Amino acid sequence: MNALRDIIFIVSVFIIVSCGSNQDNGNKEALVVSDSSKVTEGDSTEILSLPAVFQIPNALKKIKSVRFNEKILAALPSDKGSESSTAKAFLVGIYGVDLGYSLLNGQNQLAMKYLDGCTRIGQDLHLSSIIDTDLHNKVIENKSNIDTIVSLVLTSFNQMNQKLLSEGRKEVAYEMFTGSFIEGAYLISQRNDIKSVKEIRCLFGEQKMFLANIIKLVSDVNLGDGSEEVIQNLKKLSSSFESVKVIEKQVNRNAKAIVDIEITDQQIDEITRQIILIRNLMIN
Amino acid sequence: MKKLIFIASLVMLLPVCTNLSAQEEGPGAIVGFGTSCQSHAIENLESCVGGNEISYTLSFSGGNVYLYAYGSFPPGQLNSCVSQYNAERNQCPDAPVLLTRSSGGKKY
Repeated sequence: MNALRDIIFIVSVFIIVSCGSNQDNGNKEALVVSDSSKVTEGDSTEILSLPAVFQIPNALKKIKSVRFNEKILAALPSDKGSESSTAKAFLVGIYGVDLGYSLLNGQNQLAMKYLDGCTRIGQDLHLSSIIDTDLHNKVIENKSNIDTIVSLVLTSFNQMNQKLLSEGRKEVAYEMFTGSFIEGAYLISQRNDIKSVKEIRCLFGEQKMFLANIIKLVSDVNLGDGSEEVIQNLKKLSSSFESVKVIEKQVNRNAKAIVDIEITDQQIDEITRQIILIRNLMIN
Repeated sequence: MKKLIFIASLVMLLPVCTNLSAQEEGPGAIVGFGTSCQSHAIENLESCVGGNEISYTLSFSGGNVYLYAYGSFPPGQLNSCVSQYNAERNQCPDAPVLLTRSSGGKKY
């Protein structure tokens, strides 16, 4: 009985001393629940961050590498080419992410197929001056140097965005970003360890911040035909993300570190269901 | 026997609180965004927007950075910082794309 009492005492003292010390520095108040959907009022300019095509595949690989699963990737384009411009732009964004996922997992041949898919659709979107057979050949020439390939592909996607924005076709650029966002979120959702590995769970919850930016962008423009249902479902997705809490801590005047994401298993399931629905709308 | 129980208790509790501590401190200081490539691009961006006295908030978690900036300033300045960043991030698979957006009047 005395031993039990001693253990309880030791455990209590240990918890108070070691865990409590982290909160003594006054930083507890600095923990905030962010609401990234808030837009600054008035005449101001924002910088919005959006997921680059390699970003989520790279983050997933960095957290924990798992066996490559080709089945979760989008089907490659058919030859019919009858999709609308909007559908094509969504697909370029989706294929870009699948290209990154394949490449970063050492599946170079498959990555080339996705690059070719982007090239074919890019031609239809009048982007063939950037994404063309020349890019394809350069990637082949540098097949043993992944850093060079990453740089070539990212540069091309960056140039495509710049071209679209400079030509007043920002709706096409935003459609591509939307496709990339959905595919990145989909890849996270398809991880078997999404509920068991905290970093994967957090990465999934963090997509709330990218989604808020996507919603802002698509609200500025009229996306093309066939996008209405996608936008409607993106807004529903945003509502589902609303109760996901992003806990941040101010680390200096301008920077916050995300220290935790509160997302339940039920929320993960519901958000996943909606992401799959939107992805299907985009692909089909 | 008491000593043994005491040591066992410490060993069992240590990982719990270590994790808690790491979590509260986030992924590191402002320099710890992940790869040095992304970190370099973001630092240059910070320096550019900071140099232009633009108010901004930078949120980061492991490999992801979510930047939010606002203020009253000539759009050209901010666009130039973002263009410079986007050119640099071509080398970084983990760096996000940045776009500027006017939330008030003129959109560009």
